[in-house]
Amino acid sequence: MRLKLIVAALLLSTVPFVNACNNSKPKETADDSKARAAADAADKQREDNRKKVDELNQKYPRIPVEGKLLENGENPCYNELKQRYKDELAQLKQMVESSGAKFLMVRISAEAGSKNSLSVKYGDPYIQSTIDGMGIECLDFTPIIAAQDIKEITQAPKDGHWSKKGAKLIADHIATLIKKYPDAACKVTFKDNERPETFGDLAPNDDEVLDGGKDLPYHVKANSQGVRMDHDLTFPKKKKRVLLMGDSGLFCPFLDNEFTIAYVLQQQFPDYEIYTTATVNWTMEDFISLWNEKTKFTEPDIVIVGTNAGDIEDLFFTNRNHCSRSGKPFYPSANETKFYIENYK
Amino acid sequence: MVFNSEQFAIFFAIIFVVYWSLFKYRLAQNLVLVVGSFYFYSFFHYSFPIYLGCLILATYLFGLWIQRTEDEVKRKILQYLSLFVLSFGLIYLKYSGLLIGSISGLSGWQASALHLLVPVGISFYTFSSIGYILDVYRGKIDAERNLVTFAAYLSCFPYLLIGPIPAARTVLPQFRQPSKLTLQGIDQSVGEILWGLFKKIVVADNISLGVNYCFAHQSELQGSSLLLGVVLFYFYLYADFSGYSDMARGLARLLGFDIARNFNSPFTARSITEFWRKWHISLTNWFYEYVFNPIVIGLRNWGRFSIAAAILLTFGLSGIWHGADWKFGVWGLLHSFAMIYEYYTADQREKFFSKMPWFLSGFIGIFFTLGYAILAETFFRADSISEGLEINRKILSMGLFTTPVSFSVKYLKWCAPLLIVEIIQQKGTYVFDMEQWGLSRFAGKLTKSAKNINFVTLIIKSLLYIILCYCIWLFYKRMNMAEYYYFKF
Repeated sequence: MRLKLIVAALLLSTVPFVNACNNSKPKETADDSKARAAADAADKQREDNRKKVDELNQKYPRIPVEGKLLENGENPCYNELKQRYKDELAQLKQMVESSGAKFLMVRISAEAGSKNSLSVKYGDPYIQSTIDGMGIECLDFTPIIAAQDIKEITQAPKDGHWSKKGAKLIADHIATLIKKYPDAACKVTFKDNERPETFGDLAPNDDEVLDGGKDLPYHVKANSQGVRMDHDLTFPKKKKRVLLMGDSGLFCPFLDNEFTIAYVLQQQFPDYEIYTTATVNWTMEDFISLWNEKTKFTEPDIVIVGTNAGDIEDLFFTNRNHCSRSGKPFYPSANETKFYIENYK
Repeated sequence: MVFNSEQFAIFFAIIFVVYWSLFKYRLAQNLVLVVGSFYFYSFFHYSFPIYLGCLILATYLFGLWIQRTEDEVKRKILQYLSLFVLSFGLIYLKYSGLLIGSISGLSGWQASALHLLVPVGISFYTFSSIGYILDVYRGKIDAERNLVTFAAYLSCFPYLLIGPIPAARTVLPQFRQPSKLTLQGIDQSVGEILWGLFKKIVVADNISLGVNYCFAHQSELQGSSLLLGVVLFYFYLYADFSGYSDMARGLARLLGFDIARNFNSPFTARSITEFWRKWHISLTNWFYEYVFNPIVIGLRNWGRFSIAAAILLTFGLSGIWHGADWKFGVWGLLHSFAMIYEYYTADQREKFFSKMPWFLSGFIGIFFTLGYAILAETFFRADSISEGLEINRKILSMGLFTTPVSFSVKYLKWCAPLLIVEIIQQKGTYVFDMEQWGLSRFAGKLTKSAKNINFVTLIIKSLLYIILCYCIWLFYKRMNMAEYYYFKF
């Protein structure tokens, strides 16, 4: 009897590990040989890319800290990144607008209180002029944030990301932007078999506590489609949809789901579905790949992209090789190689 | 440098090789231990080994001085003087902030807080040194004449930081005798180290985020979620602290020392009195011997009240020993109230429970003990007494019957393997004592040959070790490496 109890206990105790292993391996369901071949080819491509990225990361391990690229003022390397930013922004705008969705932007710092940094000094004017040049409507949060007490609207002193009050402030201003376009409408619809299984990069049904190593625990809950929201998006859609794309400034680390910008906006617009696919450390290149692979299939009517001065430097090749969601290798240009060798070798 | 780091693994491997290569020279082995321990301690702050060195020297000299003094009055004076000197650092570094804060709070006197660097483990090794001095004074042990041997005993890195607090009577003599490393010892050590790593990396680090979340958001959460938080904290604290103690014991045994168990399945305690015989045993023993007993003897004319007074004082002190905050005092007092109640109602309770079937009385005992220990533990983790009270108020309100936060099961499930294994092994000498697991009997059913029984046991034990290694490997890189909770004390 005791032995049986022990065996049963042992079996029970393995349940968490079995679950942990199952969670890490998504089930393969492609029965069709053609689909399987395509999936195999994609896997092979991913594996090749991973190897190339690993090689590049070994050869160029360092990511310049914010402002490093600008220590000696503007330079050819930074100018190249600016051009890359401009090209990618134009590409994203074109892709979003081709779906019929309204493309809007917000200039919002990932971490408030960085107004005196070199990135802001050189990056912000360029970003604003680029946005203006492309005729994109953009809400600049710089003066709004400057009028606030940083200790109240951020997690200062532990971190510069939004507090509940900060997220509410941002949401209230974004709300004015959304209200201006009640007639915005996506003209594209996708068939069910065209849509991917997930629309965001979080693990489906993710339900965990994170703290970013800053002793600021927060609860992240994703729907079954990998988006940080409390319900799944259904099709055909019954409400207008607003998609927020960006980095941590819109993801709102250190806040539970119900205090994030997207959630606060959702409360203000019950006739809309408002959601975010923002993720910490992302930039234009990530927004483009995510749009192509996943978010365009949600058929948003309004797309609001958050940007900040750091997005330019985030396009440096070592940053991309470490942080890009696409996983493809980024080889250095001549200017990037020169900068890297001068500073890190 | 913590036990669950690659850095420590390399450090220990070097110490192990050098230590055993000198197995014929006990003193040289002790010297290796001293050098290794001071190097290990310097990783936390360069000044910590200096403080430790001074404490060791002072304890060593006072020990010899007391031993050589024959006049009883002088001995007593020396005893008090040494206790004052040895505890001065602890009181000044750890408690001056609390004292200044309390005095200024009561009197309205504006005093700026002292921001002092408190050496990790100061409470533990100061208690070891005080225990040693008291044992020498009482004539229970001879003062150690060799400074290297004494320094090796007091600074030995496996138990330096958070214990178990080594009893001088049983541990110090082991530093004088030739050390031995047996196959059985290695087997036990490996089991303890792996189990300790499992508790820390797989259980404690896994659930720590859930605990932190519940306490950080206590003002927003309902009673059910807070109950989950405090239950998780109880398991977290146990896994974190007992995991360290298991590793300390395993590492010490690999160096040829046998130190006492610090935990013995506290989940199975049927009363708070029994709980303290199973939780942080080395500290309980220390307080029992050096605080509780002297108080009882001193107040023997008070009758039964002397026991109650001794419990109250001992646990009040034990609480404050944990941290320089009155909330720890509240925690200690809550435990003392329960123990005083149990002391005065022992006969009635025994009569009442004897009428019940054993499993029912056992269940009731465990349920109430665990529940009380968990609720009292709230003060241990809360930021203040008022926060602890508020959490308990919410738990004991209708909020208890609301739906808890959605990640509850995700974190709670990690407590299951811990509970199961620890309950199975509660009476064993160490966690993978297969005799206790009933595996020899199981093997005996498969085969009659003693050789084969050993073989089957070995296979099963190896499988368990492989599973543990796999789990540790799986989570080692994934988890936040949280600091050991008791490093604060």
